Amino acid sequence: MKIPHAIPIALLGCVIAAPSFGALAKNDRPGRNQNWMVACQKLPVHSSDNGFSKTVAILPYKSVVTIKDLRGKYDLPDSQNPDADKSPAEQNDFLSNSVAKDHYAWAQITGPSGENGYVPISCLVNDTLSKGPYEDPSQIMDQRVTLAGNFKPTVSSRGFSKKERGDRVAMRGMSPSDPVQECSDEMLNSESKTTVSSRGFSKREKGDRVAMRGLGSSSSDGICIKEDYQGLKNYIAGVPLVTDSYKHDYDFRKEGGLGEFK
Amino acid sequence: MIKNKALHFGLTLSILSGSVMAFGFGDFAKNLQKQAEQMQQQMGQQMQQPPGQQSGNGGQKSIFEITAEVDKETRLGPVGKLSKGFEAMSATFGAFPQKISADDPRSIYVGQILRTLALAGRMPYTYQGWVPVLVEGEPNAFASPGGIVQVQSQIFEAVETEDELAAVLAHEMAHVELDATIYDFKAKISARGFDQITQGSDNPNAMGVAQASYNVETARGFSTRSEFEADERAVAILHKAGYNPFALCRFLERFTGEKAVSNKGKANRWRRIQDALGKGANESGVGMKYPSDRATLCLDSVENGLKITTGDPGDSPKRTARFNKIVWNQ
Repeated sequence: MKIPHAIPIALLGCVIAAPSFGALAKNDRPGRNQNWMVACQKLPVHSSDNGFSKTVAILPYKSVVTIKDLRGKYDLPDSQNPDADKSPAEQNDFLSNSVAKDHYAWAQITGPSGENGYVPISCLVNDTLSKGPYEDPSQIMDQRVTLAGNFKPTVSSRGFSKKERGDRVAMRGMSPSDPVQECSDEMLNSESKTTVSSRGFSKREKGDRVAMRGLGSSSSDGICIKEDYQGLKNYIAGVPLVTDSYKHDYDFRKEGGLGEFK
Repeated sequence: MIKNKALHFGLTLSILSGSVMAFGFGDFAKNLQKQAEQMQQQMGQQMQQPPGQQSGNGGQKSIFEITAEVDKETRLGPVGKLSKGFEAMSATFGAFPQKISADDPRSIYVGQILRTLALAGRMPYTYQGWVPVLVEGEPNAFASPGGIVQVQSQIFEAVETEDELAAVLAHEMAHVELDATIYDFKAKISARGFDQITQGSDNPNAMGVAQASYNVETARGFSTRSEFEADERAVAILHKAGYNPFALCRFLERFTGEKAVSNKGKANRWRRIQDALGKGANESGVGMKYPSDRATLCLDSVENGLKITTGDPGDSPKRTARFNKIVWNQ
């Protein structure tokens, strides 16, 4: 191994990894007295920095709000925290302090018509993000449906070894933009066999069935992938749009002793 | 031999780039990028695409162009996330021909639970709200960026209470909050970009860069560590929403066949997390990507993370009755 190459490559690795922190980059993080734009279709404004507090207003898409304060501080999980694997001494190193560490879930805002309250930061974008790819709502589904055209059932794959490809299929069929290959007849036939719900099997059997499929994961578990943009679009169109879930599900929470009723 | 070299490089680079990453991304990062650019020039043709696959300036696509493309594709607001999520979910949706109508009581019920959990989380709303999609199929659940959550019908058989159903949904919601799919997507397009660079080349340095990038992003996407983190986040969401966080651990016990060991203390918890980290980025595949004692880790998240040491109080009879009524008409 040529040692001189290790350093440049490490630096390049850093540059590659830097965009991973796009969400943490200075210009992507909200700050006090900044103007940000609502990027959710309808955004309820809450009376406090808690989803179970009353909603006081609904802001439409593209409303510009002024951030007065940030609330709901939280820590990144280890996998997204560059300091996670360091000793306390290393974490206190002055160089580490330049990494964005403060993350907030809520912003106290003033709306365009003087609305005052709290909104989740996840529904706000700044100038940079609002001009990013796909930030035009018309592109969400229509474009994909058009592009899909005469889709063929596919199995996801990527680009490394065959062995690895097998692993990825088992695990990550969900990720968009995988290069694809067509499903075999065998896969298509097996996937078309859907089972009817019944509550008849034992707990042990249930456990086995669940374990086989990797329940609770985000995995496709080797299923034959058949993109169905139009079908999904139609299905979603049939799901009622709930703008103000605080009000909409009030009775549900009350009955179940949930949220503000816990 | 070359592969071994590349892997070794990858490992080294993961550590090195991890150290370098901690330095921050302000002016320092700009300086770093300049240095890296100079070094890239020094490395010359080693880092360039082979003839015939070139594009951009003078037919050459640099590492920075690829990085910029990856960045552009993955810095997304709510609309972009829904767009990506729609794209991703169309595949899992298409794989199951029998759908359950959106006005089926079970669909409405899942929607109510999802929205309740969301109000307790950091992402109460998405561009068009959390959308439940129910299909007939073996017990499983998927969530995609933008808040589309697919639930397969036999999940209702695998869980026994509303709290357990909420636990499965909370785990999926945690993946969305933590951007797991976006990071996974990023890992793939990074890898593809570097595949292009290294195509036809036995250059272990270029392969090492690809490996390092892939490791970083995959660890944030779907890895052993991120699965543990999703469970850890899920119990916090459940607790804040008013659900019993022990429901997740109980459910995990049942489906892994493992008995959760209570209150082993912080040191032991840390050891388990380290174990999980060790399996980190390069592990994948169902069964491989989960911590080996997931139910115990879950219990530790409740006892040490949420500081609830009173034991499992059991799920609310009211909510269980509601579950039985809606799902089983009992």
